[in-house]
Amino acid sequence: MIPISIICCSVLRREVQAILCQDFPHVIPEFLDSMLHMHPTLLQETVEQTLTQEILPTLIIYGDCGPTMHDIDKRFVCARTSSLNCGDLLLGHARYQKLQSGLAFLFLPEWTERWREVFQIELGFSNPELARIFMHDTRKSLVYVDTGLIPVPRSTLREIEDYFAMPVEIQSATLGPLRAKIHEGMQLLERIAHDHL
Amino acid sequence: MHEQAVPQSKGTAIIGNVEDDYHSLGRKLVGIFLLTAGWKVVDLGNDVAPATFVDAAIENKARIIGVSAMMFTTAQNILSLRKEIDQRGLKNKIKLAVGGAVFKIRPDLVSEVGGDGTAANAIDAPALFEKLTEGSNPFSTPPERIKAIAETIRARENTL
Repeated sequence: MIPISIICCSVLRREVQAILCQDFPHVIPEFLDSMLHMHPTLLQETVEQTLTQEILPTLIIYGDCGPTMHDIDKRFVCARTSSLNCGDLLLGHARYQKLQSGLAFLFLPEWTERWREVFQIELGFSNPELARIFMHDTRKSLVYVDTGLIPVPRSTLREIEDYFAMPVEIQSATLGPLRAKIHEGMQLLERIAHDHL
Repeated sequence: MHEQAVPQSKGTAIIGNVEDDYHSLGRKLVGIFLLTAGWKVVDLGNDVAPATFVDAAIENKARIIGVSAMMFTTAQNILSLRKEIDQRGLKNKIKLAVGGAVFKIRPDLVSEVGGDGTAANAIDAPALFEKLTEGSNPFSTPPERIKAIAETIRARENTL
């Protein structure tokens, strides 16, 4: 395998590290703050700025989270994991789509730890009443995705339940779909890098 | 007693999130502002197939479809709706308004996905819908046809 770099959203830090440790232990990923998701243009700029500093072909573990993320491989020697977003990456498209069609709001472990930052600071819901209106109007359920790498943060989930006045369902997820996407991305990157040599 | 003027209906607008898109907040806001501005709104919800949009437009005699997509990937699915409208010969009869976060960042996408226009935010949606449908009412009977029918009825009555 050729030497490569990885840029990844910190929302999947633990999961990606667990996979890399087993499958690609020589690769050291760079994680970018997951709050960039709330600022798509800044996210795009940050990813591209990071890419300009990379000297190795780079795998980007991101969904379609920035305005020009879909064709980033036209501007840099890189490949991106094909997916809509982190939920799609982690759960696989069929399961993600099923949850979305059931109007579930997904809490991934890292965002769960930072939920106040997400809703109160980034989305500006300082008042729980407004947050409840938003959530009840747009979603039917809250789902915590337990990837098994940290204990389920039950007290945090209770805070979330109180804040939104909605129960949080805990669903387990294996790392299989994410692992498959990383491997697929690695193979694509090898082909892209080979074409650039 | 004050009489409140009932705003004249501006017609029917079909709105929905494109296939595979579940980000409903913007669409709901657009629906509220359209209703307030006097439109009858038929909201098809999330993940709406192209044929469903067009069927609803025909059924409700709507002159405009407003479709929402949050991301680039889902915005690409609007192309299928564009094709559905065109293939049914409704290109000049049903306008396609597009909206969603990705169009704010990439305005070039509006024409790329076959949209007839977009608005910067939900508040501006009614103005866009009015602009796009200005002067067109393809599903109603044209005035000259109404005049002809009236004359035929009058002539028939005169012969009785």
